[in-house]
Amino acid sequence: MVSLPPQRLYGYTGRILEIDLTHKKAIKIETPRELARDFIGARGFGAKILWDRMKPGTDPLSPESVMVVSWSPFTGTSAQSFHKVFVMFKSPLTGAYFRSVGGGFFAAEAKFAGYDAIVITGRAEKPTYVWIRDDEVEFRDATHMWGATVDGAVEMIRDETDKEARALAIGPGGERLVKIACVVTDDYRTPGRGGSGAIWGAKNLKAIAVRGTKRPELFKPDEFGELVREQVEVFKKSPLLDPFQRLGTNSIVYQFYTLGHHPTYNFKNIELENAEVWRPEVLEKYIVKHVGCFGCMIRCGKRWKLTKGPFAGLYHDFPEYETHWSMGSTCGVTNLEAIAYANMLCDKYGIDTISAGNLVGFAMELYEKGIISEREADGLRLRWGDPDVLVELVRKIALREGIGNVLAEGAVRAAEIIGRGAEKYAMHSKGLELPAYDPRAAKSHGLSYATSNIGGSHMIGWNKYEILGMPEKVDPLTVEGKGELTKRVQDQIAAYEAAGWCAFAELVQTAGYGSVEKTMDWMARALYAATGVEEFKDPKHIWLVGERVYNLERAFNVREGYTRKDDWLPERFLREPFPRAPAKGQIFELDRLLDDYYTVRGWDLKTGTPTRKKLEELGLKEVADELERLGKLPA
Amino acid sequence: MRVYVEFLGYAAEKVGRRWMWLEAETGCTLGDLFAKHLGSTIGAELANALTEAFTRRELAVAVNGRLVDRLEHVLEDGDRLLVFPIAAGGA
Repeated sequence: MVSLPPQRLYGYTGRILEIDLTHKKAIKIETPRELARDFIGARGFGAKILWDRMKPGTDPLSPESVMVVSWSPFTGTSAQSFHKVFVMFKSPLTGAYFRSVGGGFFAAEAKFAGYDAIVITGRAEKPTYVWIRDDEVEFRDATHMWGATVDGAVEMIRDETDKEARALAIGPGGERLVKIACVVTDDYRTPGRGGSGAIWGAKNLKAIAVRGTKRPELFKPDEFGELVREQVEVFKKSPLLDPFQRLGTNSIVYQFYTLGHHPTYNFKNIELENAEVWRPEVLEKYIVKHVGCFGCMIRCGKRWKLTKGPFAGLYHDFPEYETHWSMGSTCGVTNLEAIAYANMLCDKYGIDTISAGNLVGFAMELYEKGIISEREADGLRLRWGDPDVLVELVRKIALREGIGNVLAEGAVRAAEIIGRGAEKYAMHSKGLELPAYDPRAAKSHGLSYATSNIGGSHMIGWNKYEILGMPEKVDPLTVEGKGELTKRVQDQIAAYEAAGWCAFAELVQTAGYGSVEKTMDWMARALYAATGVEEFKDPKHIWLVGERVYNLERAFNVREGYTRKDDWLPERFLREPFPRAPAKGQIFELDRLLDDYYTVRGWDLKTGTPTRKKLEELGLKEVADELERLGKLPA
Repeated sequence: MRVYVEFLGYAAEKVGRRWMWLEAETGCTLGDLFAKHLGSTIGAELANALTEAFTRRELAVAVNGRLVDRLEHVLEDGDRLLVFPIAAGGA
């Protein structure tokens, strides 16, 4: 960290937009060069700005709550798939640090408007949307669109601003402060997890719409162009390109069920009859259109059309892998039409499909166990596999109706409200409802669930080594070496997310190269060519940024009071052996795995907190100082 | 011995079947199964193409739900094989 970046930050716009909703002020601040050098952008910017700006103990739904919406120096360039929108905040669902990732076109458009990130603070007096056109930022009345679904609000905003505007918006779920509500992109490539929509609802912020006419200037455009050509060629030879282009994430539902990664019946994980509906050739029949995000040749998005059954006529974004699980397997539902319909409701109402389905499965198990009755469930018989119950419960959660009002609080709070031992069946980690992998069937992936700074996320440590056997195969059922593997995967993801990259694109590129190192080396070269930041030349610096981001996110949680006891998984995984092949008989060895992981991370074994030595090694001395001042740094 | 082989995606399209039972000798490896027994059922050319795709890691094989990465993997009576194009996902 000796050399300074050049005077000009190429690739970046050089400005961060702060939106103060309380005072209707738009403040443009220079993007600090040190912030770019040390955190790159996107998730890195979010972690650093939240650490600096959020006081510990802040209520996520208060005006003091800060949200960062950001992207990267690659965003809006010709680089493939680096145009994701990252949303960082303190979660109203979990109380911990959160980052969620969406796609679409919003990030590129906001970059074209001239910004590297948007920081949202305060609370508007009445429903408001923010309209950004290059340097002009307007706070507009959204009273007339309050209550509308996401697509309705986007249509009204485009009528009032620009037909080509790109937007993030909330639906009725966010307005009602549903804890699993999300901000939704205008094309449903949504940063879905963690409750971002409730924060916007609490801030009276219906949407942010943007149009931009600028283009990022690159440090070495010719060299950058060559690197993008290399990237495209690697994509073309990657074995993962064709499956993603044909079916998106639907290409793996049935396989993952077979490999033990697709839990059933609220993680009881018994055999699911009729799982063959998720064979790729069945799912492919519903696809009528392929869609993609800005600057991505993969085009993994698909539109489904339903022509039969009670939901005939539906034409909408397809259910992703996770949604087939959350609306399907974990509820015992194999009716694809109902899954597609429930998925559409989530998109329009603006709630997270993963958490919503997890909560329906949770309610179904409570009903099975006699913990909640038909009367308490508004007259619904919450039987496993009932597609009508699925759709009705999703609607009730989004609109906070009846039992939906309880489930809308998320699994942890809902279990507290219900009582009677319901918490045993709440499948979450740190309050975030678990997604479509079973920790017992992939130990490093499970360890990432437990240690994730955002709670039970599959994407914070998606383990290609265990799940795909790529770039090299690692036995998913062993525990040896899993601390190191988990750290490596988490740090790599944090690094490429700091560069604004899509996880799917990274998989495609790494499969094409056959090597993670080659991918990271390419990214370092491309980052340098885009920005001119000397440090980016060295892949070790990029890895270091990943580890720095991960530790800073951890420190945020430590400051909020999180310790080892929160790196936790439900008792089901620790005590109940996995009942079916291939992981039959497996349990999750939490304590052993945590000890290994903390040791490799250089964190205190007793508290799971980064040590001063580790933080200083990562250039985070001021973070160590603050934790020490608060009495939260291990001795 | 007998093993059950299930095909997905383009593997199913090329083979023209979703599943089949194959007879094989005790100690048969995955490579032998593809070369000899699958080859005699679907044709040597196509069986070779699938083997090469597996070697290039474009095609994955799971035996009883566990990924295998070597043609030398020894099969057992009653094994259930899933043959599928390598694919990924998460969101």
